Amino acid sequence: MNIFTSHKILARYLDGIPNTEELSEIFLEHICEVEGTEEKNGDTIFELKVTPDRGHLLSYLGLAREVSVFSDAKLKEFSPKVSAGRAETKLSIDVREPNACLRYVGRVIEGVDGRESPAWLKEALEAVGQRSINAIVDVTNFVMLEVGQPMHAFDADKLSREDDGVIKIVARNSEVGEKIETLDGKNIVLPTGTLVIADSARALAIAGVKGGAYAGVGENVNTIVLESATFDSAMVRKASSGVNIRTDSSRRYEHNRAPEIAPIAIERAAELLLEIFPDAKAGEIVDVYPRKDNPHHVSISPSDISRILGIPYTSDDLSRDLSRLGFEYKAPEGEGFLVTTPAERFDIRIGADIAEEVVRLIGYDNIPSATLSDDGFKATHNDTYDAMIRVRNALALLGFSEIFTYAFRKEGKVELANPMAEGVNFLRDNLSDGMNEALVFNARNAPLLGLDEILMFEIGTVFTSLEREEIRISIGTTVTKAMKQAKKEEREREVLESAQAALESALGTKLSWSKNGKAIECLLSVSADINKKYEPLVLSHMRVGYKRISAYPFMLRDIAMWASGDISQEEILSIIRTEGGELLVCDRLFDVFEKDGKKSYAFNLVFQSYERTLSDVEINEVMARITEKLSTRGLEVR
Amino acid sequence: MDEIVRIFTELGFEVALGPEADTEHYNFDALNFPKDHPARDMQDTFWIKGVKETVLRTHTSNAQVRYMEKSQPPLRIVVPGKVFRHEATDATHETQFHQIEGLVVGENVTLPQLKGTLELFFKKLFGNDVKMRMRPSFFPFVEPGVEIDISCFLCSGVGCSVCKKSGWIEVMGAGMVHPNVLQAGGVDPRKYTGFAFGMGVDRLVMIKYGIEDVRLLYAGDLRLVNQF
Repeated sequence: MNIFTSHKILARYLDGIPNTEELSEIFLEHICEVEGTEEKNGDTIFELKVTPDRGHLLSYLGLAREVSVFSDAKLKEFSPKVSAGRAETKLSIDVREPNACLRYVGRVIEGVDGRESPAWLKEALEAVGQRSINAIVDVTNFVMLEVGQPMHAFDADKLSREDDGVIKIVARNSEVGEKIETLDGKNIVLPTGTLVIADSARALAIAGVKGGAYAGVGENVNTIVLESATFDSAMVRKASSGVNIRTDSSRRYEHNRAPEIAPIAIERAAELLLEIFPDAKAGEIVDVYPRKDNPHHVSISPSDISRILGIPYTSDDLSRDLSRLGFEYKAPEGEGFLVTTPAERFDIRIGADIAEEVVRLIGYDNIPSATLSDDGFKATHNDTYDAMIRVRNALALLGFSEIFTYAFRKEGKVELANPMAEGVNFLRDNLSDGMNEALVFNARNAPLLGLDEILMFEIGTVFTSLEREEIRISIGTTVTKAMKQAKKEEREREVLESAQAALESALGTKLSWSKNGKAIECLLSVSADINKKYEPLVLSHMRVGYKRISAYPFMLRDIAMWASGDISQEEILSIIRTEGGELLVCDRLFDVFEKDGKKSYAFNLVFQSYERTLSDVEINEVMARITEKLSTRGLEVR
Repeated sequence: MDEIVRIFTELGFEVALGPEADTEHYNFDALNFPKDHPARDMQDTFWIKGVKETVLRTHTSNAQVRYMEKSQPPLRIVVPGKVFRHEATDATHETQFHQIEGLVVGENVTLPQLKGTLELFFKKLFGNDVKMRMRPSFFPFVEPGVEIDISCFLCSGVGCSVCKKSGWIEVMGAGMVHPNVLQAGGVDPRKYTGFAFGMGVDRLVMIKYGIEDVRLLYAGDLRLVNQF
């Protein structure tokens, strides 16, 4: 998941923050990839790519904490606390699904309204691309960005009350056919068993995913119920895909949230709300935490670290590094350390995870390079792969080009459950269909390629039943030079026959071919007693630069002329190329003969632009220029 | 692709192949991809209809556990092949592309050996001047996990459009094999360690030859193919 943060934002949590450039380097070398940076209003915004295992980085505080580990910056004190005032509204919480709702912390705040956020809050949200809505909603969003804990606010006056006037919030599974209208006005029928947050009358929110419209905080709000809850990551992931809604909240839950941050977030939200609404009163915190999480422990020894990282590593090194990382540990008796994983570090579960923390500290640049030692491994020769090389070499020598066509087709034996589109919902059960299409396609471009015949092959997997896939070879050819149909067919047959013979000789076995249109195909097989050594690769001319392919159609012109005297073919071509300019993409001599002491030359010329479709008029002008220039050199253009 | 495979066979690696349609077990579960975890989003998947838990492999890593089940360490394999991702296609994304995966497992296989092996590989492929760096990343089947960058050979690290002005190009994922993966392959993680790496061949080809649209590689278009 990508998140945005900025240099100024992180400076709020760090004393002695490194400058922008150093910070960028620290991210890249020790923390996570920087996908982009942007200068905005005297600040630098970073787009960070946080990997799925490191959910603790999905918050400013989490990022700041890591920056403090990998730099000289010090994390500032952050322990918000708001004492409860005399709020009149009472709240109770009933968690009926403790496997899905791991912790639910709620708090009433009275005396708020629907006013706008102060400028600093608007700016803080807008800096990272979030829209300001009103002060209450903005505070919940900001606390999510800051602490990493998704939050929600309900308008307390919309909620049903028990007989004793208490608001009761329930975390329960949805009933059959239960509906909810989301904050953005979508009506959704909830899949049965989706965790919802409800009062006694209705579902108020899809837990962890999206709030409902009914108790949303609008202009006329007076009292709110704040929610800071921990929902199970897999549950939120399923619920979110079940209703097809993904939010910043659901994505954070999917990355695991530590129940320990829920009360911190609610204190922080209350603190900010009381700053904005000085006369507001915060109620008591109601905290339901059915099964308290036990801290995770990892046992690790310095030799485990050396074994993975391949560097000398002592007990002192480990003590020092664990302290720098801020991990608590029990001092060793003998070799073993017992490390207590910080609650938000779901990525620290085994020794290798600690090794990764250590190497992040050391820096990958400081890891030495070593070669593999001879451990007695003997590579077995792979006959199937060898056969592919033999096919490629044999056909390359005959002038064939290798192509790859798509494995997705409109017909086949094996169907996809989730195709990209209609018409490509099957896996291919043969290669020839794709080959025939490629032949037709390339025949159209034959003049551009300067080819008289198209020669292609493919090695690829086909799927012949749900249980079976096999590797096949297909070969195809089509003659594009103008000649009689019977001649063409004869030539194509000859080409295929020689290719077959070359393959059978290269693979040392008879192959069983089937024909389909202009293509033939067979199973890739190889004689068991071939030489068990990979052939050297027949190298294609790989060092040439690639030339862009134009998306616009090409135009063909022929030009023929009589030449007398000593002007050479090269000189003629040079004139044509100069006048043709960059629109002339291909030229080819297709006819030359002598008569009455004069020589006749005829060329195919292909014109194409990278920017536009060429017009007849335009090319006629080019041809006129070529003709004129040739005439001045004494050539008679016919 | 064969050029890359050849470099590794010369370094003593064995060529292994795996099926393109494979079970969710070999493609994900055995490689330590938890179910219902965002790690699965890293590789959007095609599912086969009418058969339980079968996918088009999203990486050639599906051969890792299959190979370990058959052969105890020491082992060194490279696995070339076609892989599939359920992604909208554009100039740099295709639904099918080629990958080469490597796996080394033995009694004293270490991170410096991973670094040294890959440095050697890049020198053989791109020449002696190429520089390589590792930086932290995450792939469920390795721990520690790294991203491999090489110095941009177009601008030699000065900064150009191909390397987005950074001087570096991301070309590979790699890391030390996660103990859960060794275990899934029947290999004792207390006795053996290993490293793995994987690269998109199409990406390397695009970079090496300056091809701007990956889709050209699968169009069977000789206007492209005949240039090589």
